[in-house]
Order: sequence, then C-alpha cells, then structure tokens
Amino acid sequence: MYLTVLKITAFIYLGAFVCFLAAVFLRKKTAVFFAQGMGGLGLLCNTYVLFLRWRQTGNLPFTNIYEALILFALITFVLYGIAWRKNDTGISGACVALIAFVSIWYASFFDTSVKHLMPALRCKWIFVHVSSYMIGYASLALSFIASGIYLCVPSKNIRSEFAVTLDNAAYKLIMLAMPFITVGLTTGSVWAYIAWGRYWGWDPKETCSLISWFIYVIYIHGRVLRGWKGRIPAVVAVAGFFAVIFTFIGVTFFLKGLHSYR
Amino acid sequence: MNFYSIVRLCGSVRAGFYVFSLIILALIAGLFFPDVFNSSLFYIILFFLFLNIVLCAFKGGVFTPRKLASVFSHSGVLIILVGSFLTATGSKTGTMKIAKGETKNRYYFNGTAEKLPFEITLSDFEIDWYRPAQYRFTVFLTKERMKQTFTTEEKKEYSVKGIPYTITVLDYNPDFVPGNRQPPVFSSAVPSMSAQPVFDPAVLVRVSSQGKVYDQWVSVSNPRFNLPGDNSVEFMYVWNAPVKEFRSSISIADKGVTRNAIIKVNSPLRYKGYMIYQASYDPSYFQWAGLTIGRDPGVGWILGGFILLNAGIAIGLYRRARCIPADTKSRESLECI
Repeated sequence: MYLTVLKITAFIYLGAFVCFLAAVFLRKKTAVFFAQGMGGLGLLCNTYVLFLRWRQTGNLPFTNIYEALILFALITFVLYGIAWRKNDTGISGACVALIAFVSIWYASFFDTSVKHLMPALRCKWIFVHVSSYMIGYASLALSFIASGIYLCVPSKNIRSEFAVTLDNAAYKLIMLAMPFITVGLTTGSVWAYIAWGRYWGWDPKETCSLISWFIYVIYIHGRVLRGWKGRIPAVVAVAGFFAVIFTFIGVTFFLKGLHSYR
Repeated sequence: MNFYSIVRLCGSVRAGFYVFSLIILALIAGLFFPDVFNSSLFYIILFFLFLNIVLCAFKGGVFTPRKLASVFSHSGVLIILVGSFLTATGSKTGTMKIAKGETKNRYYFNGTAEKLPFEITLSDFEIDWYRPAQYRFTVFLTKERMKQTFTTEEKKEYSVKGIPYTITVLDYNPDFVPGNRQPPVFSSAVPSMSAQPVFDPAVLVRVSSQGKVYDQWVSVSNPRFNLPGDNSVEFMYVWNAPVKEFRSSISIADKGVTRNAIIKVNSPLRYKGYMIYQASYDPSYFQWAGLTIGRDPGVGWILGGFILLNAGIAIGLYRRARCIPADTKSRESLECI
C-alpha cells in the first residue's frame, strides 16, 4: 500500500512536469493552472505517503535520507505554491515538478525497510534540525531554479521584467532560506553537544553544511553591501545549491562520517 | 602602506569577501586533510574574520542602532569565534574506561591523566538489543541470473515472487556478535542444513518448498544459504547492524555526598561543570563502559552566540521581507538592512 502510493506520487509529479512543459509551449494560463492542479494532487499524495510512513515506523518521518528526500519534495512544492504559483509561466513549475519527481524517484533506491530508531536519533532536536534544514533546502532549490533560468536568459533581455523578477525571486528565496539553514546548523551543533559531547567535530557533513552556509553568506553580503544583481549572484546561488546537494546527498556516499543515516 | 591604510583594508568589505573565500577553501581542504582544522593557518584565517567584523563595526558598517539584525548576527559570530577559541585552548575532554564496580577519579586527555574533584563508580552497565522490525533477504536465481531483494517480518510467511518458495523468520539471536568465532550455545537444538558450523548466528530462517521444510540459522559472516540438492535458488541474509541502547548506572561521590545517575546517548550528566557522556562499552563481555568526560569553557559562549546569530538573521528576514522592492534597481532596499 505504502510503496504503491509512493510510486503514484512520483508518476503524478512526472505528469505535472509534462503538463508544465506543455503549458510553456502552449503559452496558455489555463494549461499552467491544470499543471498546477496536477502538482497539487501530487502534493496530497506526497503528504499521504509521509503520513503512512509515520504510522508505519511510529516516528516522525525525518530519520534517514529516504524520508528526508520525500519530505524535501513535499516542502519544495508547498513553497512553490506559496511563493511562485501566481507568476509562473510554467517554466519554474516544470523545474519544481522535476525536482519533486527526481527526489521521490531517487528515494526509492534507498532501503525502505522499517528499522528501530538508533538512540542518537531519539532526541527532540531532530524535529527542529531536520525540518528547518528541509525548509531551507527547498527554498534554496527554488532559488537555484530562478537563478538557473536567469542565467539562461539572453544578454539582450537581461533587463526585461521577466529577468528582474527571477533575480528578485532568487534573492527573496535565499533570504527566506538563510534563517532556516542557520537554525539547522546551530541546532545540529547543540544536538551534537548533547549526544556526543562536542558541539563541532569537523565531520564531513558538518563541514559541508558550513561551506554551503558561507556561500550564501557571500551571496547576501554581495547583494546587500556591494549591490550585486544579475549574473554574479545567480552564479553564486547556483554554486551554493550544488554545495547543498553535495551536503545533503553526496557526503553520505563519498565521505565517511557520523551522519550516514541511510 | 601605513598602519591606518592596513587597518582600513582589513576592515573593508572587500577583505571580508577574501576572508569568506579563504574560509571556504580551507573547509574544502579540511574535508580531505582534517589536520587543516588544527593548523595555525586556519586559526589565522578565523582571526582575520574576527578582525574584519570588529573593524567594520568601528567603521560603522555593522554596529549601528538602526541595523539591529546586523548587530545581533555579527555579535553572534564574534561570540562564537571567542567560544571556539576558548574551546580550542581550554577544553579538556577525555575518556575514562571503567569496569563494573570500579571507582575512579581520573580520566585521560591527550594521553595524560586528569584528576576529577569527585569519584565515579560504575554500579551497572546494561545494553538493550532491539529485534529488527523487518529482515532483508536477497534471493538469487542462478539459472536465470536474476536476483531480487525483499523484506519480511518475523513469524510471517513470505512467498518469494516467481518461485514456489516461502521464507519465514522464526527467531532472532539478540546476543550475537558479528565475527565471533566461538560456537554459540542455544537452549534448544537447531537443525542446520550445512555441514559448516554457524559461529555468529543472527536469524533462524524457515524455508519451505513443495512440502519440504528446512530450518537454518543464518550467519552474519556467512549469510548465503540454499536448500540441499537445489543449487538453482540461493538466499542471502542482508545484515544490518542491530540497534542497541546502552546505559551506565554511575554513582558520584563528592565529599561524603553520593549522587546516582543513569547516563546514555542523548542523556549526559552535568556535574560541577563537567559533562559525563556514555561513549562506548566492552563489545565482548559487556563488563566495562567507556565514558567521555570533560569541561569546555567555550560552550556557554557558543550557545549565546547561536542565539544572537539566529535572532539577528530572523530579524533581518522580517525586515527585508518588508523592504525588498519588486525592482532591485532601487538603492533604497539597501537601507533596510
């Protein structure tokens, strides 16, 4: 039942992606609405999947990378719905649907079996740490989309309303993400102090999360103090999201550490 | 270049960007060469970050009353840096290996014994092993060169797809030790399909096929098994490290006063500025516990810095959300920091 709903969710997101692409080519607002409706259906299924997982394991579904990816897909689509739904021409919706689909599809490669929660994860800090990181990462994923599309805009149209909107959207989304990834970073540190006796141990995941944080610190200082806009902040935002992806997924596979909760 | 121009340079936004970039490069290097984080070069870079923020503050770029978010967040970073320095220079966190019934007042930090102002007695050490909620197996169909992985629950018969086999997990040995070379002692005789003795049994499995029933303890070091006379189907138990929870019951004797406590993961004991953590245990006979003990003068600073940093960034988000205009060409947005 649970895995079936998960597969259905992935296919609905894939369908939403196709519909968004069709909307881009048709250039009709109704097509975008239809695609958004399909994405909304995917969102409902995604929520149900997490609810089923919660019931299956008895823990909040935040405890391994498999559950985190499903949560990430959900939050990304929710943020899209809140922040971007009205101004979308279909391109960003397509990117969001693709990210949600890839997250769930990729999650299906991980071990889905139910395991007892290891003692280190039985802590109230897990809720704040993981959920704030997931909200932050989802927001950064959207900023990555906005910056990525911005970088694809031809130079002659770089001052168009569309390009400026993308630039502003990326900025706002990074500003939204920053408090969440800071809360995630600091609560993780507090939790490490309670569980392991040190608040910072230069574990690869900790180091990578600090690298991501500093990249976005550069972005914000560049925009605020140097008046950056246009291609430079877009490149920094894209680089920042690659660092986030490596922190979230890459570290688990390429570097050994204490955060390998597969 | 005179002193003031050096100070001006160190307190510039441009220098701040250089410092951020250097920190990122050092962090990337540290992923592959962890000694970087203990090098003096890394401390110098962090010192320059501290210096840059302080000089920017004096220049009026950071600490102005109107810029509350900036004041909070940058103060937070400064306090965190101070806390990190205190941890690096003053923290003495080490380990104590203590056997059941033993009393100790020394722990080891960097190879030297540190005396505690109290005594610790390990009254008891307990470990709970959790039975897996699900068991994973891979079945290999050697003729077809196919394999499939499935999960099943204890005492539930699972029908393997595509072949007339069922598999049931009958029992789980909670005391098995991976790699153990001592023959296990079972309360009841268990039939074994293979002639090889099973040294580290983890799971008792029942395989049924066309009326035949076979029971087999599956070993962690030798997880593959098949039915006698049928080499076309082979099973493999996919072992996952069992979840265990260990805890130490300790007594602290301090000037005639005794305090009892249970310490476990996520539940350390704080006593007289010392934090006492459950860290490790005797993996063979469960007769001793490894404790991490220490005091860190930087922790309070770090936690205070975290609070300020988060408060500053949260205030910044709130104010910026109200200030970012639709068109960032307006320089007014920069006044809303």
